[in-house]
Amino acid sequence: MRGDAQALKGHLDMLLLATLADGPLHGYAIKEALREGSAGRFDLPTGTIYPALHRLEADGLIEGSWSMVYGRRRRSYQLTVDGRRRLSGERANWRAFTAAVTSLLERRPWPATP
Amino acid sequence: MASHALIDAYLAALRGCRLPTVAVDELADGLIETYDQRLRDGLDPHSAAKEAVTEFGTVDEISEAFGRHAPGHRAAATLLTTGPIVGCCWLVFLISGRAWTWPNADTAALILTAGLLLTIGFLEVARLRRGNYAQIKAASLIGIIGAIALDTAMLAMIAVAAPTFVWPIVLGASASLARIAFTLRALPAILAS
Repeated sequence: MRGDAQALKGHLDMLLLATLADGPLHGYAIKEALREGSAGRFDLPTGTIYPALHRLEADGLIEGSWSMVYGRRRRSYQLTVDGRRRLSGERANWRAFTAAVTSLLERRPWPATP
Repeated sequence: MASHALIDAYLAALRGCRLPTVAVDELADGLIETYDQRLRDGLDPHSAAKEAVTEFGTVDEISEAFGRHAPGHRAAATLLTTGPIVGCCWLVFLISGRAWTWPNADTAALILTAGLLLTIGFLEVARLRRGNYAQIKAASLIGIIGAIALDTAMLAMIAVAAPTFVWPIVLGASASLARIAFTLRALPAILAS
């Protein structure tokens, strides 16, 4: 759903790092992991995943390596030590944030004044 | 390797955006992988190619995204944001040191102002340009070299022209040294992009 893709702004880095938590993936597999992991809600234009991956690599959070698959070059990415540390921090922040929002949204109404 | 005229045309358009070769190789792999997946889903070759290209996004979207995430774009944005702070530090120094009384003050002011405007111009191009990766890279490199030259010139001015030590020297010199360190750190990634 492309509309929800807009809501990803600001969270894309965290989600991309999360898709790599279990091991190396290439660009298309990362996009599919995002889509499947969100039950289809985060279906980004595939091509726009790659620049974000390049930026994360330049920041030292992931590292890429080339291999040959079906006669074409394929680049796969994996988390670096800094990337794992960042993901862990982002997860903790996210849990604290969602807990705070949930407690506000699901707050029981104040009892009526007698 | 599976391919289709639509896929080939799309990849040719991507190459026309002058993205780095490694990026085009990676995009080509992703696009062909998407196409193969749609074929495996049971679509005929033409529908699979159309679907893959649609899923991938337009060439403009991709080119713009690469530009937005380009190291040169980010370095230019940082330099433009921090530039006024560095400028203010030096302004305090120049005013407190009564720079207008120094030898050749008019010529130095003219050269520095021209250099500053050119540097800002190139950095703005790198920051605002969308969709032309090569231009973003070139403009950011020129802008960054300009910023280093300006900082070096200001530091040299302290050594040569500043008649007495005034405390804002520390402010300006620290700001310039920090900026030189930042630009030198950003340079390899821009050159490699």
